[in-house]
Amino acid sequence: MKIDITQALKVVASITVAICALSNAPARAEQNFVQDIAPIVVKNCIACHGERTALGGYRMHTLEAMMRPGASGRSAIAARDAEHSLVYSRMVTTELDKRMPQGGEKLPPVMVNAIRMWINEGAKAPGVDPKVPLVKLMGPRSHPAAPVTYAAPPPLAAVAFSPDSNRIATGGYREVLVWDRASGKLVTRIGGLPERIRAIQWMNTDALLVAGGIPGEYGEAAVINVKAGRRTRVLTTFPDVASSVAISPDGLRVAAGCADGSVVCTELATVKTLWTSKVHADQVTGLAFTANGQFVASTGRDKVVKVYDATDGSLYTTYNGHNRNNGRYRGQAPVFAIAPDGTAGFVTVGGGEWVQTWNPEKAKSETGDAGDMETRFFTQGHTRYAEHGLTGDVFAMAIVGTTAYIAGESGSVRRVSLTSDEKSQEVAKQADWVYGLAASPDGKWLAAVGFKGVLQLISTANANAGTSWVAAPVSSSAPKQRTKQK
Amino acid sequence: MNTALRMTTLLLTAAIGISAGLANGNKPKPAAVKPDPRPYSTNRKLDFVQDVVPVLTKQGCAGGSCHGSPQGKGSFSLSLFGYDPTMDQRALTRDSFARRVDTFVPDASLIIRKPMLKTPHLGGRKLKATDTAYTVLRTWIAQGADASISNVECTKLTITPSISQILASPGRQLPLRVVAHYSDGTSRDVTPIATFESAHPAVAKVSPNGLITGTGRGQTAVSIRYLQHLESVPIKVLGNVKGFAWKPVPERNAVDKLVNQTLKQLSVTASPTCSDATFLRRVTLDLTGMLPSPETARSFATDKGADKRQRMVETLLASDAFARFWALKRADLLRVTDERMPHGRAALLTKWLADGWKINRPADVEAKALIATDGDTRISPPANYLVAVTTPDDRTEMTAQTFMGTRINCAKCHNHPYEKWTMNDYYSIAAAFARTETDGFSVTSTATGETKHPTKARTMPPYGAQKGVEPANRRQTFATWLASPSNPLFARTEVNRIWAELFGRGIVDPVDDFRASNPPSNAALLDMLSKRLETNGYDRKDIIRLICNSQTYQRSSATDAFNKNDDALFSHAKPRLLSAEQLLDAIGVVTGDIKADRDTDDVLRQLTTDISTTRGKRAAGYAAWLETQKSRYAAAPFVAEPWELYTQPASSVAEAIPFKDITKTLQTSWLERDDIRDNQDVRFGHIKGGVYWIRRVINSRNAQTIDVNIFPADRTAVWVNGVAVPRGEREKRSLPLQAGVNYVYIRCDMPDQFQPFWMRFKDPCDVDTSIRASLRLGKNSDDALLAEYDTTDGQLRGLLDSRTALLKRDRYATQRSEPRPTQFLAAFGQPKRETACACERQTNPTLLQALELLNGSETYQRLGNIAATYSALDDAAFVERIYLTAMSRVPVAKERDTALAFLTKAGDKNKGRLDFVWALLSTKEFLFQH
Repeated sequence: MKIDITQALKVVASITVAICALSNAPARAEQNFVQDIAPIVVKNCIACHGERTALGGYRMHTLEAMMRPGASGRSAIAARDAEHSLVYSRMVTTELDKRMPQGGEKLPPVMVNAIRMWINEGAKAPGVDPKVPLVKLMGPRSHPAAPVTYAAPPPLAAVAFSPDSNRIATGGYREVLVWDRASGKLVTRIGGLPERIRAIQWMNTDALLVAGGIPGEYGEAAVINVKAGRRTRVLTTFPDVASSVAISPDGLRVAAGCADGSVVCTELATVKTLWTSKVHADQVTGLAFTANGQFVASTGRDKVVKVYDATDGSLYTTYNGHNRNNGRYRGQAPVFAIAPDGTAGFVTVGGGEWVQTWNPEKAKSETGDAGDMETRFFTQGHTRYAEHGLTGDVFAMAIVGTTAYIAGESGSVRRVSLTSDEKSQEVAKQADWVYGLAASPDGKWLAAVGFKGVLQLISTANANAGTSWVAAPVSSSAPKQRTKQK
Repeated sequence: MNTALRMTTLLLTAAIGISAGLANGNKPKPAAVKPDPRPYSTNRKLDFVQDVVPVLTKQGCAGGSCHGSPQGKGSFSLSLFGYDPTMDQRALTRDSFARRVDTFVPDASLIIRKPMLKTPHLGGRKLKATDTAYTVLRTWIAQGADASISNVECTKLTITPSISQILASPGRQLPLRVVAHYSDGTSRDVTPIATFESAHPAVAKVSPNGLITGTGRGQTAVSIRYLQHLESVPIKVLGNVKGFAWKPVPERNAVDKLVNQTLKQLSVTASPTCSDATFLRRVTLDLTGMLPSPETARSFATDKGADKRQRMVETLLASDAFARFWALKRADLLRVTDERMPHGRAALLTKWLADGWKINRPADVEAKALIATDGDTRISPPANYLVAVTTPDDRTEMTAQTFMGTRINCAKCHNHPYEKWTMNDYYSIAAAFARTETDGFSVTSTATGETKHPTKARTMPPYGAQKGVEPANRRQTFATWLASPSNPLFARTEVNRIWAELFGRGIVDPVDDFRASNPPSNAALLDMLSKRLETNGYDRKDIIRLICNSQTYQRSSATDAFNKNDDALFSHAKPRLLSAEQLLDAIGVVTGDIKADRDTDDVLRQLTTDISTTRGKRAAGYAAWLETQKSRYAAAPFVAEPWELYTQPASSVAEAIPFKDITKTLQTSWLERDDIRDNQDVRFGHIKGGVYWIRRVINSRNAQTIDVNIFPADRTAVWVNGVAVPRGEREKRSLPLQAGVNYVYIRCDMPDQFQPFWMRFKDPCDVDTSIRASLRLGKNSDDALLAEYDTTDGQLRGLLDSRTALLKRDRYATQRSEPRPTQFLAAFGQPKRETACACERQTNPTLLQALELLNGSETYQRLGNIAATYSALDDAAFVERIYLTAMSRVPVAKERDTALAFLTKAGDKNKGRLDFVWALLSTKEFLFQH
């Protein structure tokens, strides 16, 4: 791809403007908690004084927590008295081993002053819900521009076909890349996104849903306008990377899952949070609505699938088919991919040997109670287990009609019938791990991306008709030849 | 020459100078040794295994309580100390959709932000920008985070300095340099990324860059880890101690010389020799487990011979009590219990061990017998070792711990984190036991059987064998290697165990945890003793004799300012609470419940006289008794002989010997089993499933049909004389007998050891089984008949039982061969014999112990004997005798006066005496061996 020099200059200019804006900020009459204080705390303090890590027994992840004294019992924040507020006094103490951030560089005077002024003004935060995490209060972040070229292709996990099956969107570093399927040419780069893009869903000709974030720090689910080439709406933010996103069949609601185990459902038109749930013990890896829109289900590294009532997010049931100690289909494995099965159920896959097709209502009735545990452990239940023949974890799945295409650690892309006993079959093979797999809406193509950053286009009809290319704007020295598939 | 290097040289010179005895008083300078970060900046493409994996260990990420634990932490799992780079590669670069490294902005990588606490990290701050580890991680990510694993391996570490080092005083420093050598012929200084740890930071600490700083006088070892290589450098820190002057003590032998050498070096004084009474009590308890008798205590005190202590050691070493007590110690480790070795086999093995001490069986012979013996455990008692420990894993771990003082069990799943033992070693030792089959009562060597490495799926060669050569018998070859100088750990473990028994602490402590990072407190001493054991023909009594005759062993427990803090250099005797068994017997002896060992001969003599007198009185009745037995025998319609078990059970139905052939087997293939009885479940011992045959002879007077009930358990199939017994049958079956000798064969197909069958045979003969053979053969007098006649008299039976009990020392906790746990013994830490670990014997004082002494039924019951035992003595003689028995000394005037005043004041004479003894039993002087 040819780099447009004016485009690059614009990016540089915008960065410069941002820097100037920061240093020449006009003095405001009063400190604003959300705009002035929360960003300082989030960036410099909550790594040690957060929700889970609370050194000195002191937490700063919410306003309420900030106000509560730590283990010493002394005031962390004494309104109108910065000198007697530990938050401030520990930042300016001359005892180096006690100065905050402990073991780190001293904060710049402008930040220290902001804290002092805010406390002396009464430590006020009008209109702020003291229980809401500061990260959340701060709202969506703006992101730096994507690099003009990449030194090497990064691992890719997100891939999606456009509704007309002619374009393919893949995740990049701080951007989404749109490719022409037929030529393999890069059509558009949409920057200003979080550094990792974990999931993409094409809503209509011009709009994409994107989930991504900064590992361990921030995540968002956003709407991207392809034509405009920018992020238009951020639906929700998270304290860790958003790993998955799904839209309801009626197109009105969007659910997003996060690596911190939470799931948030948002109304698309109003960006209003409809419900939030955090019932997974580990990362949420995938999300789907049932075809009838009744349920949302999330897959997790914690080996279970949680099924929520789509209207209010209440936990409807937990599907344990991937975490069984007894019976014919036993094994404990993380679950990575989920899709609606076309009726009222789901198809899920992860570690283990089977693609599992199941129905939430039947799963709930089979969950039973403690009294019938013995029999329940050994009954197979209603789930349909289709042996997929892959070794290692399976990370991705795309459904075409009654066929599931799956891929993962082994690099092999396989076809598994969800309805017949037909033996599973390899349709393509990648040299490395496959993280993402998408099927074109017309059912003719599959696109697989993975660790090596290569996009492999696979024809579902003709095993020899595929191509592959490096799906990243790598610098000219790196190989990015379009290759004919062997 | 750069500054760092010059400093290194200076310090090295200092250290060498000091080891040559040139200690000076210069104030130590702070070190300016900084690691050279250049090898880890961008000049060289970093290698994932050689550069990155060690850093994960160094910063603690891959530790057992963090991401190296089996479940990992926060869904991030590393291999423990980097033993599996493939797993680490996956975790760092691929897992969770490659979220942990960011090659665009290396500093934004989660594996850098988290340990630097730029993002919340439950593990806290583990990485600083100044750490070499940071440079390594950052550079590696910036270079593209290439985690490919090359086939170049680290083959060796060179540590400089590598030998034992001495620092003249706390504050002095010594830098270590670590060079790794790789299989491609290259080598590199890996000091900044190696992991250092000091065994005792209170003696010397070590910086992340390998700079050792003395912190206090004493000894420690610094271990150095790089990938799977572990080395260790012993460190001594000396120092001038104000006012210290070595006070000479007698040096009787090599033990004293080596112990004193270390004491002088570390400015610790040696305590003077203890009193005769203290020595006598100490050595008698140590060698026999019992208190010296009051007569011995009195005669030893008055013995004027200069060599009386040596003579006492000889006497004790030659005693049966010594053999029995020391057999108990080994039996603890071999897990000798009635559950594991039923039907008296536990006692057989203990007795075999005791016989070994009696004849001074060499340590190597004993070890080889335990490991390599084949055959029936009732004929070859040492074979019980393998019968009781059934799995190859258990055998590997037990054998390593017992005979090599090594806890190898970690190496079952990963290379040992603190030692050089690898999974290869573990499974090679297991392979030495792979061709061994055991059933409940015998050990057989087989021609087949292999052990596979669990992750490499490779068939392992047996340990101790020549490379590429399959030994004729794997176990014998392994045992030969194990108990020989080619395995230095064998002699070291043996002498260290002996030392620990005599001092309450091993030279290496714990005694079964030999490893580079757990150095001996006196290496020269351990070397000397183990060398001596290897060259004296593994004569353990010689070692015990040497130690007991040393002044070191005979030191007083009194300390001065210069040795009161020493607990590892043997500068003084360490008072020890009597062991559970010692204490129970000591209470028994003081209260008169049992006799001191020396007195048991008198009791035995008396019993023998009484028995023969009683027998003489009863001789006249024998003829009439015999007639009765004969007529009873004749009246029985048939007589059944004891059951016998076919000694070659088949492991599968296909290999089972058929009925037509079983009747032709030789008599020697059958073994009488008195534990198979009528009217109960039939079991074959602790064995796996298989096909078993049992048989018995029935002598029938006439042709007749008798009843037999057989009730097989759910999964067991049983045949009687070739006819299948339907499952679930409870009804009687008819068994036709012909006149004369009949054989009944029962075949049992048993899927596992828990599926026996139940049977009932109605035996109509009213004569004890022990004399049936004699009666059938028409004998008029033989041992069996006479013994049975003896039992018909209550008084005689009592005398005989007493004699048997005394011979077996049934009531002596330190002496008996049959393990018999009691509440008292458990409270005082008697091991349950569940593991091969010496740590199973608890030595911590507990509240339970106080309760046992003050309130326990076992103490109280023994106290009840006092009145009768001492009734012949007046109060003065009584007090003196109790002191002599309990403390091996006469009371001093004040003690005597207090005691007599108390006894006089007490209203009830016996109650007063009981209270007096009870009080004495609670004194430290009694409870401790000092």
